[in-house]
Amino acid sequence: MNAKQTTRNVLVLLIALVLAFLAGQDFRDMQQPDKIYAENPALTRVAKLSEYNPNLKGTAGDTDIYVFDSGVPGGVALVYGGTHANETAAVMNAITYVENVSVTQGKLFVMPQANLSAFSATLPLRAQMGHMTFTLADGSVRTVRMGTRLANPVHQWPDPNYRLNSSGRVLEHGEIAEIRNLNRNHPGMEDGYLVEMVCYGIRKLVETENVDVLYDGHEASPEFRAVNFLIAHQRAMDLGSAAILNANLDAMMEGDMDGYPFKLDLSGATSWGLSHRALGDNTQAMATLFESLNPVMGFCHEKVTEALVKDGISPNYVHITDLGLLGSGELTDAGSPIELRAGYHMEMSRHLIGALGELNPEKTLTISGLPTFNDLVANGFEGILKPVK
Amino acid sequence: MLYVYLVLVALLIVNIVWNMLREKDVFVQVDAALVLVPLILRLLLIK
Amino acid sequence: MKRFTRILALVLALAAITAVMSAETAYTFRTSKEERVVTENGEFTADLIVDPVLITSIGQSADVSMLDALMKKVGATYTFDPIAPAEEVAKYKTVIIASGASSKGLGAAGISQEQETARAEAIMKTVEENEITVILAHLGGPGRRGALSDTFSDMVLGKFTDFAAEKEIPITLLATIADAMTVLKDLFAPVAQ
Repeated sequence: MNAKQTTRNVLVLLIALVLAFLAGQDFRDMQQPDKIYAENPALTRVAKLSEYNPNLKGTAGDTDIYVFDSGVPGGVALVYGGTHANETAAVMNAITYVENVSVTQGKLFVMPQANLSAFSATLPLRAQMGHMTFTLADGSVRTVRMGTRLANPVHQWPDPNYRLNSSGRVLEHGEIAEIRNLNRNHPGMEDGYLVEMVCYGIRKLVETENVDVLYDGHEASPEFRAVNFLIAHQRAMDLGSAAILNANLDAMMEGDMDGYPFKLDLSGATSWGLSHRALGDNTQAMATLFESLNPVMGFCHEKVTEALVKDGISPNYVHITDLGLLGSGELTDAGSPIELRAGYHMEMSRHLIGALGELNPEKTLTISGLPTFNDLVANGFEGILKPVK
Repeated sequence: MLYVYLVLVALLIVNIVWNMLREKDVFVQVDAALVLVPLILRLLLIK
Repeated sequence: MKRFTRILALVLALAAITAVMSAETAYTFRTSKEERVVTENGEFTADLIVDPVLITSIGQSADVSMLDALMKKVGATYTFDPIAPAEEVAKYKTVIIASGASSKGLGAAGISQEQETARAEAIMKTVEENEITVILAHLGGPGRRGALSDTFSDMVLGKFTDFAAEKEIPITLLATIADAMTVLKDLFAPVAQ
């Protein structure tokens, strides 16, 4: 090969390296942690999940847990989002709690980003937006990453071809990648794959802190059959029923006569590895999970824009609704904005906490300080979130 | 197992680069370059 | 052209007949924002309730839990047993049945579909033999949009209201689940001493 040829070959190689560098910037940006406002005076401390599973220390799975301890004996709850990092309303609900909640009886644990690794991951071929941004009244911008359903493969790789996990669920064939899905690997393993260790940490948190009720926030596509459903372990059915009824009664008292579109369903006996089944079966907590409607998670939406992602506006899905083809995720022209979805999470979790004391007075957990549903919807997160220094 | 896979990726990169440098057809080189980008990102555990 | 005209006439006639039939069977919602509780075919009042009261389920859906929550809220006195067998039902004077099928509920209760059907038939025989007052509660209402919801309304709500009209059974329709509080309070709330 002559010198000219060699020079050209080296040049192509250098161009490839430059492309790798440039492409890598987007992915490295996704690995920058989100700034969460932690100056709520009611916040007792910020714990790490590795306190409950030391094997997580120094790993990408060691997520923050915000502890609100009133010091007064009472009920204990765990509210978390970010099991799936693309289900942003659940994350925003948890962030709303962290910024605003105050606890005067009992103890509250809030975990906004349960599968922390997943927030750094991106989803190939789905044109996903990497961040949701909110411009606050003072001009500052709050940003939240929108990751993926599964942990980042750079943190947990390779995926095994076969895994019988701690729940008894077999992950193989089409479910191989689910070894990186938090919500298939509960109750976890102390020293397993990263996601299994995260699940174990959550289990130990629930056991160690005597959590009475846990709330796992999720979102679902319009095609999903259980949108706006509270899925409850059998021991949590009474609690779930009371919470849904109270939420609707409170809404009626505030003039919204139609209330909330919440429905209740029992956790399936074969939902191995899912939080409502596995944590309900393996801990003392009443385990619940709620799904709000997120049109961008479906397959029939239009081009991905901020209107779709933030406001949930999708004429395609409105048309599909009018054709009567959706079981529960029906959409109108008003869309499904992030504030409405997070508001549903807030009302559902708030009323679960309220019902805990109603059904078990010795387990009263008294919280306050959260914005009302109407305030959140009217003012948006731009009006609710606090600036982060 | 992670380090085994990283070694495999590294070997693949070396093989591709070696062939790229010896290849005369620029379009084949470009193809190889496209394949190299995600492999490099995986070797560095960026993506 | 003559053949085409005949075919067109036939198609139009079929469409007209279908439209008429659809118009006759399509369910019309009784409740509205202004009228949230509507009762048809006469009144069902608290004096028709005789203690003791049992709440049970046929189908084992989550609706029975919602009914339990409603009854607790109004302070009613009752026994809650979603899987009560017919022999148990016989001990009560008033039975509220939450109807709704759920394979998950059946699985959790350890009952097969066939066993639940047999239990339902036995209960129906028992309530008739013992002249037990039965209230059927169906809480899983439809969303009010779309052809699928309309089909559901026609199939389910239509069945309930048509059957109630035919048998002259009082039926109360509610705009939302929370509106059940009003009805259940009137029927079951303890009277202040």
